Amino acid sequence: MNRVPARTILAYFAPMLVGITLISLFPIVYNVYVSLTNRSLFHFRHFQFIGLANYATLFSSLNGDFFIVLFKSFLFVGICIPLFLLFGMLTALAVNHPLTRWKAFWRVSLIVPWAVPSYITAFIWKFFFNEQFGTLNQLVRVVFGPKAGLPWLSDPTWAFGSIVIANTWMSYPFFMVVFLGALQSIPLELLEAAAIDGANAWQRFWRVTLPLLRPAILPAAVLSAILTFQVLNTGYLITQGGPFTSALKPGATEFVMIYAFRQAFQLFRFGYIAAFAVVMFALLFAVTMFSLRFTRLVEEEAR
Amino acid sequence: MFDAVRKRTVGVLALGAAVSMALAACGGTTGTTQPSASINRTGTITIWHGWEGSYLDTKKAIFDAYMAKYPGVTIQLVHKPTLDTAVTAAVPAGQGPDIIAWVDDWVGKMAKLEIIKPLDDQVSKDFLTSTYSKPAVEAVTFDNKIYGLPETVEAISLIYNKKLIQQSDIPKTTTDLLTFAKTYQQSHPGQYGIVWNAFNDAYFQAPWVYGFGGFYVKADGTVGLKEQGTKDAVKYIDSFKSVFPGKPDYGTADQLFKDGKAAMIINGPWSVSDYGKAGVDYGITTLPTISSTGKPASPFVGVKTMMVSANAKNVPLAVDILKWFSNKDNQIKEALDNKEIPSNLAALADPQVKAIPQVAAFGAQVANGVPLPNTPYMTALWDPVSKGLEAAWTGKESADQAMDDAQTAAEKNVAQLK
Repeated sequence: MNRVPARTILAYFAPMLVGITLISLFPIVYNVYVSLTNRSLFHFRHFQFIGLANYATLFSSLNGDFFIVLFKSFLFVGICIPLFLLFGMLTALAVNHPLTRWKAFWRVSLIVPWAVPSYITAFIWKFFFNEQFGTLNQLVRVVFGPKAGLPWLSDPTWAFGSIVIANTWMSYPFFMVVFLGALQSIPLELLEAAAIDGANAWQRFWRVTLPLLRPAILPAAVLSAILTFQVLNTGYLITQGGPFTSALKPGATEFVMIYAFRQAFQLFRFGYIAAFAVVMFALLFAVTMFSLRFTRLVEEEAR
Repeated sequence: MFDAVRKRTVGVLALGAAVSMALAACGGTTGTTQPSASINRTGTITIWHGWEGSYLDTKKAIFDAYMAKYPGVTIQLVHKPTLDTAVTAAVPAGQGPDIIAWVDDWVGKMAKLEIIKPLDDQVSKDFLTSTYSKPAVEAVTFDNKIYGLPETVEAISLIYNKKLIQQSDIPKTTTDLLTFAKTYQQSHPGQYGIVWNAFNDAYFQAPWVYGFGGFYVKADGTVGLKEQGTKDAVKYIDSFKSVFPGKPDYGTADQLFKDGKAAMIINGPWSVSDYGKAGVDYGITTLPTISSTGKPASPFVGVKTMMVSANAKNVPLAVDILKWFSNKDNQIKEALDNKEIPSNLAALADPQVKAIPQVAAFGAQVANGVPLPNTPYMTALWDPVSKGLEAAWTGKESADQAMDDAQTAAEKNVAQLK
């Protein structure tokens, strides 16, 4: 067997290493550096090192923003992911069902929401939710009379729900695709055997299909949870983080990235928001590590 | 064409902005300029702007004429939907345009960010004051330095549908306006006597806030949201709640007026050509007088401003192009084509311009207005004012409480800018 010298291996790796360093590593290191400075509107191109002051502001009890925003984001993820799973599963099962005709057509049309650029989808939903002219309230008026209408985007709770709806719409196809792939790998013999043993459709799903889908569900759910946690487009374009109930509180849909965006690019608090980003990174890193370990445990248990 | 101030808060799609910021920061070289007596009229000048539609056509024609006059010069117009994030990322990295076209509320901010450079060695104060109107001169001056050249000015005013309301019936005071809105809705169910973007927009509420004797922020950073005048204005705005659509944002108000479902709207010069196209026979008049103070409602007078990037290589050429762009003939052309209000004194005095009804009407409103603050502290105000207005409008907080909270938030923001 030919031994390849380490230098050659390194040379082959070099382009990728340089790329990762420039595109991924450098911004992270630079962000950590900025988080230790007073970079702001008045100190933008000439800023000073100020130690951990930004982190102190972030965690100080006076700044309730941080924890409110964090809680809202976790709540959002906690509601969205089960919905993604539910709609992804239902559509996948429907498309995969032996009686379903035009499978290719359904596969393609159900994946459209995922393929359309998210900001376009966001604007479409923003129009649907418009209280005066929006499609949804026009339908409401047809049924309940001309004075009716739901506060889709002006009531804090409704607005939160509206963002959940829009986000579910654009995210469930990912799960449908994942489940469809996994469903097709389940041997039909297993289901037939279960049927012969007297299991009804519900039991076949619960006892045979679902356990076999689990290896596909968990990584997809973790990945999706991280993406949902960092949602920006959907929320910002539809509500700008609002509705707002006071100038002193974050908005009803002001999730972490929307908060960061508002603080960084509307108030120019670069140092502060860099510190915020570092803490978010640490948090997501911890959650990811935990869930990977959890996934591995589940898989080992399954074996 | 949308109003620039609104656009600042609306059109932000920059998911990658954070990444590009970080990447941009590693570029690092700043262009240096050599002071030169004569102008070297060769090379390319890039302008980043937010112009659209017929506005863009007119301005393009003006720049084309310059290029025809000096064949060595190429002027590149680049439309940037998110101009603020784009220049904030590009210029510190040694990239970006030579000229940035926006509104004067950016002047202080961009100067503090060191994204634009002062032009005092190219433009004299005498030239400025003898060429342009007073609000325009104030708009481009920050910290006693000249940071750009003015283009045209704009302010929001009262626009009415001639089919729905006679000119003689237009309310002259704030009390009459509210009464009119109520009686109109009683006689025209499902329609509106007046609409405007009352939901949460600081720019659109400025006429009331300043007319009632309040203010947002002063050049030294003093916040005026808890002033009695500001609170009175917010209470007045909220008294329209019963006669307004559920969420009166810009798009809703605009559409209702276009559909002929609102007799009057408060909007700016950029909107009227669309109203004409929508078939509305419109007239323009000044906003009413505040009943309790006797002062006219005072909208922000925004001055469209051309700023020169800190990286501009050929500053004398950039300034020469701007002087050409804002000269008498070209501002007359802009007034004739798009009903824009000139900032050039000679263009303002031109009989052709004076004869344009829209320019005369908006010009009268500009005379009652207050300059759109170009202090960087205004940056700290947009967000709390908008949230406070929304909290008061939706009834989540009383007007007093909402403005007290907004004052606290704004003071915190002002302190953090420094």
